[in-house]
Amino acid sequence: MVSREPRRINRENVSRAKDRLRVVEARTARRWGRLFWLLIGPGILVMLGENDAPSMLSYAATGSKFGIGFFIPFVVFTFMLAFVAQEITVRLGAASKAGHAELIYRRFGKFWGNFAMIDLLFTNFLTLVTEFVGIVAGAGFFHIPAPIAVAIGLFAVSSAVILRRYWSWERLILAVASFNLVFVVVAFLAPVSWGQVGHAMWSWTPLPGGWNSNTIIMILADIGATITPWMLFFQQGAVTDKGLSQKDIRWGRIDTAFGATLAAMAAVGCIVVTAPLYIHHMNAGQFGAAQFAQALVPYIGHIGGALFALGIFDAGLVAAVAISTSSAYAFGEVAHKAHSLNRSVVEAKGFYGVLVGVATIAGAIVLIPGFPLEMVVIIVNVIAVLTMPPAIGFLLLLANDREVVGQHKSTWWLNAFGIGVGVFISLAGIVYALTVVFPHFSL
Amino acid sequence: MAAEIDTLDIEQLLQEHQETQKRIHELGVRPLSPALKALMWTLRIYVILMIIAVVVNVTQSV
Repeated sequence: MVSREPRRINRENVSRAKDRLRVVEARTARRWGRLFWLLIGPGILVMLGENDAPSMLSYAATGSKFGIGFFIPFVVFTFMLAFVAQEITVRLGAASKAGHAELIYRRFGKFWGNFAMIDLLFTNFLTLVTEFVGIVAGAGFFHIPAPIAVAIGLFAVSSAVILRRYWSWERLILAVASFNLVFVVVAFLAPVSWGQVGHAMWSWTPLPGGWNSNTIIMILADIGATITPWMLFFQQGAVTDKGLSQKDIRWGRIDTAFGATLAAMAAVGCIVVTAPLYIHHMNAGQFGAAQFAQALVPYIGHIGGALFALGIFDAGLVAAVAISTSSAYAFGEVAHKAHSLNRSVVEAKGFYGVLVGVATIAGAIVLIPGFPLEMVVIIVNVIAVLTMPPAIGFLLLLANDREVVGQHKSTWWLNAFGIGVGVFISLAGIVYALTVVFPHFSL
Repeated sequence: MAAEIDTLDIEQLLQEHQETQKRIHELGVRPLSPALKALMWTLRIYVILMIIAVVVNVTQSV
């Protein structure tokens, strides 16, 4: 993953070759379980990473404002949309061995590449700030001071610098990310009817309040909680860094589908656990992580509340790592600098500098007294989804570029799904704009 | 085993990776049809308008 020195035997190549050897051995021995273990990673990480602090708070706000109903199947549906988009990055990464930013610059030139990078860096930075808001808020439940919480977040981001090995880094972050499933556990502590959850799942009802501007903003926030530009750059970068070959694309798809399933379960769990706040008419629309956890204590107990707060803390931690890494991959690809987690700090100063640097600035901003953190948290998911249509556009064009993906070019039905995702997201944005211009607009 | 690997193995194991990288390095900018350019400009204008909508929404709610 160094654009101007492809043939050198370096630390990156040796590490990747070791990983490839294990995959070849498992495939030759037909040890499918072992192969699954070796090839999973980018898909699960990107999906659980996207279940980040603002996303989980968005799901919590959804549960507390709308209860169990329309939004349960809707959130599952958004993960299906996310799968359609992320599956393309698996094919692009495995077939081109290049990151997303690199391909956009190479095929569309600097002019369009710069636009894509501005979108990515802008939304990445805003999102990164909100991850540290989540880390601080989650830690606040346990009376951990904000500077210490930020330091823990920065330590997690810096783990890549210490490990200097993609495989070790991926396994560590996967272990931390798996804690996202705590939202499934706390859902079972909530006093809700699972029959009602099942009914909502197939009937998409009820939708309290009907289709008004609040509903539309919540829909947009929940789409933004599932599909964002950084996910495309991260997963393609990770697939390339992991060294997935064209033979591994099927496993990459399984990895992505598995990740989407786990993340959807956690998201639904979060809506279910906060539904009692809706039933008891609590106005939780502007709650932060700690307030949600406190408000839930009467319904799920102190341990449940603590697990919820820990879940938000963990969600921020994992996403801070993933988003910093996606920024660093994009920087390295565009600047033609070494950009692999298999490199040492000396070999890839710029890559690790961006990785830790952006996280440090975002963490520092959260510590500024009086900074409008709540506002950033509210708008970040909305901005993420509104910048998505051009990203989907580039994604579909690259997925149909035979010179890039060869035989893995999208089929007509994959294109139909991809265009469907792009049109759906664009229309959601237009409806949002209409609600801004005409506040009393309803469908 | 995986831990013991020599230069020859590395070349073989990364053959697909390196050949693909070489192929991608040789690719140039793809020509964009007028329809494609129009689509990309439309999407760009869409983002700008939506960001304005977000700013208006935030200003109204403050």
